[in-house]
Amino acid sequence: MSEAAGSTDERFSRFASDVEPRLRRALVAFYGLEVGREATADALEVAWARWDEVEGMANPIGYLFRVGQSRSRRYRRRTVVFPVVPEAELPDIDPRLPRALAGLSHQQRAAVLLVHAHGWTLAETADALGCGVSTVRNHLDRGMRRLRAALGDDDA
Amino acid sequence: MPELELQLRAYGSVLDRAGAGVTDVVDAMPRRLRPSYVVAIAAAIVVALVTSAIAIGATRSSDGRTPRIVTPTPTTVATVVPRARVLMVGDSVMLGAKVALESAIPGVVVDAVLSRQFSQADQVLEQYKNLDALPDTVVIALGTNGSVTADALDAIMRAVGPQRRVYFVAVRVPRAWESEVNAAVRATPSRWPNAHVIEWHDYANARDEWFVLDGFHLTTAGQRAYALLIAESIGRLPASTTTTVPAASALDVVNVIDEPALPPAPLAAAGGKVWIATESSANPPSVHLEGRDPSSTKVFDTIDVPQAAVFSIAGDGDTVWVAGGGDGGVPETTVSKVDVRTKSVVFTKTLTGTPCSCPIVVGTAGVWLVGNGSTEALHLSPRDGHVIGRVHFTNAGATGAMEVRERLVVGLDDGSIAIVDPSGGRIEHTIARPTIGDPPVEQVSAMSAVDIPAIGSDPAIDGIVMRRGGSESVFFAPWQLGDLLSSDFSPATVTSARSLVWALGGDRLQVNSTHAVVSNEFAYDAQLHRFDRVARGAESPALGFRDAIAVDNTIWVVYDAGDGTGTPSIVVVNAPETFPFR
Repeated sequence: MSEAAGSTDERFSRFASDVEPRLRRALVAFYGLEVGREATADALEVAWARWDEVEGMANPIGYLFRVGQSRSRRYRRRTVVFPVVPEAELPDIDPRLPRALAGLSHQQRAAVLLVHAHGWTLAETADALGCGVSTVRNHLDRGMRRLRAALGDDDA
Repeated sequence: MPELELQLRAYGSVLDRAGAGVTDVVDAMPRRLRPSYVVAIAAAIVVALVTSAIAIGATRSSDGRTPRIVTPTPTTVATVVPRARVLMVGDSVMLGAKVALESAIPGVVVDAVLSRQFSQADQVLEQYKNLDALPDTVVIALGTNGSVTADALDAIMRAVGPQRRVYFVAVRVPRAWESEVNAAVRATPSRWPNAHVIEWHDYANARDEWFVLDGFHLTTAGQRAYALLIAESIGRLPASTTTTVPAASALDVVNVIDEPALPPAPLAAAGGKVWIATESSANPPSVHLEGRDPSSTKVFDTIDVPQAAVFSIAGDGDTVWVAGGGDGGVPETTVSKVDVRTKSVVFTKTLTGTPCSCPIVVGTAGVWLVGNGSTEALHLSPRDGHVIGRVHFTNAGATGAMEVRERLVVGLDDGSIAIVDPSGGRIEHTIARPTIGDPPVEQVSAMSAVDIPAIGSDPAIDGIVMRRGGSESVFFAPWQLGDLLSSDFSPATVTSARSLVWALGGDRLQVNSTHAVVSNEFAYDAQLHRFDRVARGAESPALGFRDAIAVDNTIWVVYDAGDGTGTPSIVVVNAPETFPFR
């Protein structure tokens, strides 16, 4: 194994294993499971091809999120897919939640999932989505309202 | 049920689990898992998965009640192996060139992973063979990470068998083992008649600009050269359909299409094809739609739409919308919705009292007819075409429109831009006035739109093509549209030189090796926050820009030829991979 080959490869591997989970969360939240995962893979491919530039970036997630968005155009016609709730294991989750999430706009869904499902701050979410904190807050409020309406959440 | 927030928190773990494993999504539509996905995820979740990068079979949930379920299978990669015409097995050098290879070689499957050695290749090939997925042509590009013996090469040849052609790529890796690898590889054809060598080493050795500092990983130009050399060597170079190139330069032209009777906005993308609209002079008159493959530009489908005239068309999903005037002088517009999959016209609707030359815009923001010079935009029902809303621009007439992020962006003839947000029931719009420096966008007299995938280093850049008054007609200004939509175009919102610069300006189509432009190039100076002219085509014929769209990695530009006849042509170029100005 060459040292020279190893060093770039290793740095990229470390970067990818660090960034991939967060990037995937953002893109899956935005596009659903199927397109989100494809877009994540595509974005990481670009990160590899342009490693010289990506390595030095201050906000690689934000950049790669936009790469993923751009690449997702090729999957645009696919349905937004979210995993069903494993009811036996998690009986407290409304089984209609995945469908209700799929019904939100991309931005609303991303805000709702990143903030509430993954515990990101508004600022972290805004950085990844490339918008302002107030925009995230608006999407979050609207998304939560729509989710509550879809789930008939008046008994909660 | 607990609070929604708590449910979401619990659901986050379901999502993580479903997303993290390289899994099989049992969806309504079975599909192949692209090997690129396998590769990138394998790289991402550490190279433990690499050796099983082509595992087999599909995992299906036993729970019949839930057709959409995700089965995490974190130790295997479940995939249907795609049918390849060419299989390429390589290491990180090939992985870097993957996109270039896929665009240069039709039907290629690139199976490249970091740090792969020659000694692993026969196992990879055996896996493909066991799945009956080993094509007739196999390219092996290894040796970056260490030497190889004749035995290992013979094992590869045995794995592939005598019926298939095997191409070994002679490496350029300025390390101790380079000559050893290449000597072993070059000796293989003498023992195996179906083995061949692609001389990347000799071809590229003097071209330092093709390599990054380590001397073997490839720059963008290197990736392209690498892909083309391999494509050429294996006889898979796509046949060139280029006829004439307007400017004598190394334009990356895919094709030039001469269509004498093109309407102002004749291009749309739908159903995986690019559609070109022309008016047919048959009786009764109709609009002729021709569907072409974006990369090969071959014609695949034709559809005739029974309406007399066309001004513009727009595509969305599998639908092409056709809009045009009726008889001259009568202020009415006919709109047809065409399903390009079934090749049928869903409906044709005539809207009286609307100007006949209206750009039509279609997207998630709905279907819009934007009056050409009128102060009104009409929101149409996608179901039957009747008017369901109107926007009045009080300050100026509309000149062009595009959809950006679920909003309609309309260029107005006073140089400002209206952003229409149709969500939330009430249609609202705000006016933004560009203020970035020279050239003054206040002179904009028309706007067309290019929604460009992956231009330059920042693939998120979308672009707007504006036509200015006078003869220097067009320039192309990609902004960070997130900023564009936030409030206005203050110079500070253009944050880097990368976020700008690619000019479609002026009078001729001019290009260099990586990008296509019309002359009068403008570069955006990130320090000074202004455009500067960096090139001018003085002796060029006058080509007038009409329309442009970007599909996949190609850009289709409609222009008027410079012969004084105003005859339009379409030039198709590959989207540039790098920005010319940094």
